[in-house]
Amino acid sequence: MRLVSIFLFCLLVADEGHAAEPLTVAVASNFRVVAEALAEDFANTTGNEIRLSSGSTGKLYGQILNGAPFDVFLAADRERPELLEAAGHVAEGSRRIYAVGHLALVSMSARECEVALLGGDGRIAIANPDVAPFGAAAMSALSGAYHQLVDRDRLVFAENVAQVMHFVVTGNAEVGLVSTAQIAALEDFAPSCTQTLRQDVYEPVVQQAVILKRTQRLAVATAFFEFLHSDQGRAKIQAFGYGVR
Amino acid sequence: MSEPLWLSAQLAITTTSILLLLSTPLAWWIARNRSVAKPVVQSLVALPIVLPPTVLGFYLLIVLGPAGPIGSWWVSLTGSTLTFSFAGLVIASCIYSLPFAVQPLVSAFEAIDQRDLEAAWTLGADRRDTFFSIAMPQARRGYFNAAALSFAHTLGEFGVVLMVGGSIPGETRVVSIAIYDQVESLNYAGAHQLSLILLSIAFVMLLTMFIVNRRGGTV
Repeated sequence: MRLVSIFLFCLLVADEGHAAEPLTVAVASNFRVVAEALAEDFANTTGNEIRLSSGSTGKLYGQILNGAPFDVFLAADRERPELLEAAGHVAEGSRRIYAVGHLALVSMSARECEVALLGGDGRIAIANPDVAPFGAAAMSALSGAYHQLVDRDRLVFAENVAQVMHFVVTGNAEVGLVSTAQIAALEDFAPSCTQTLRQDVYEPVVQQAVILKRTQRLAVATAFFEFLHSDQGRAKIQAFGYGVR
Repeated sequence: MSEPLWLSAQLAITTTSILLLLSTPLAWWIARNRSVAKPVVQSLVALPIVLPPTVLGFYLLIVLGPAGPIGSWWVSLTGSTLTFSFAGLVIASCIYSLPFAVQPLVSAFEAIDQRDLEAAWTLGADRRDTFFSIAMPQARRGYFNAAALSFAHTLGEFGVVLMVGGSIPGETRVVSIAIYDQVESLNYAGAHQLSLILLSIAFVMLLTMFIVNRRGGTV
């Protein structure tokens, strides 16, 4: 009996701890750095801490389907938020576009980016198109406009778009396709060339955010959403090279 | 579906063969040596058991990369990078599975009676001859265990490959990575299929090893 009451007490305490936990935001890798900056501003303005968990959109989507304890999901596409909504995981009316992402080439080689992409013989790193929207966008450019120009054997697939950058700055891939925000956030590495990809070779990445129905902190999540779409939030998102709507 | 399995098998066979060759002198040295260097070498060999694959993967990405010491040499030799290649995975696997090949051999070599070796020497056999006709046959159980363990361990390798492999079909997308990709893209049926095959292989291999070892007799 005593053991049982101790156990129940622990549960109560744990539950109380749970309520005071920070807002947990699942964020697509391309947006990680921006989310960090936004989280800091949000904490300074409202006093609410935010905890980030990043990965490819597809991976986070799978985790959410399997009950991951996220309050907010900043995806890198609109398909997966829509699917989550259809499956009943999304707080009503919360789904909206927060950023429109663009692809950029980045390279540490001596060549110009586009030359390295089209005329080089080193590896081209892109994110896994099946799970990473930026990888899918990169793939559509490589199999569309650049189809005849790029040797498919040069492709390597990163787990998410952050690993693409990692492959490039360590010199393991000659050129990589990343989000413009990742380049804007580079501090310790100076790529020899960066270049925003021509707009006519791929569709811009429309990124949607949702509040997840399972959240225990709807008020804070809503406040974060409002902050995301406030003038201050939008300015920050634009500063990293994203479009907003 | 079968490509990653075949690739993993090739990687495991190549790695196991190389490891048995490399581990023989290394394990012999460890087993017969009494110097202060012995614990240092033993610790170095055992490191991959303790270190997370991320540490190994991170260093390999730098060392094997085109700017790294081994990677740049490889690029000048072959014109392609060592990372994202099958050769790179073989090197990574050899380091990763090294303790699983060395440890059983050390135990086997240590169990050899010193008097058997001395008898051979007094009969005029040189050290090389003694090793091949006395030590190696007596250590065959050790060789069997070393081969089985390094094969199984290489088959189960994941973290290091995730960091240095680049998931290239037919080149670096080994079965563990293929499963990961399937799970990530929520193709659970495909993941189940590969996982079940891998599970069966691993179980049968371990079972065989334990049965052979229990028999106490010959391999």
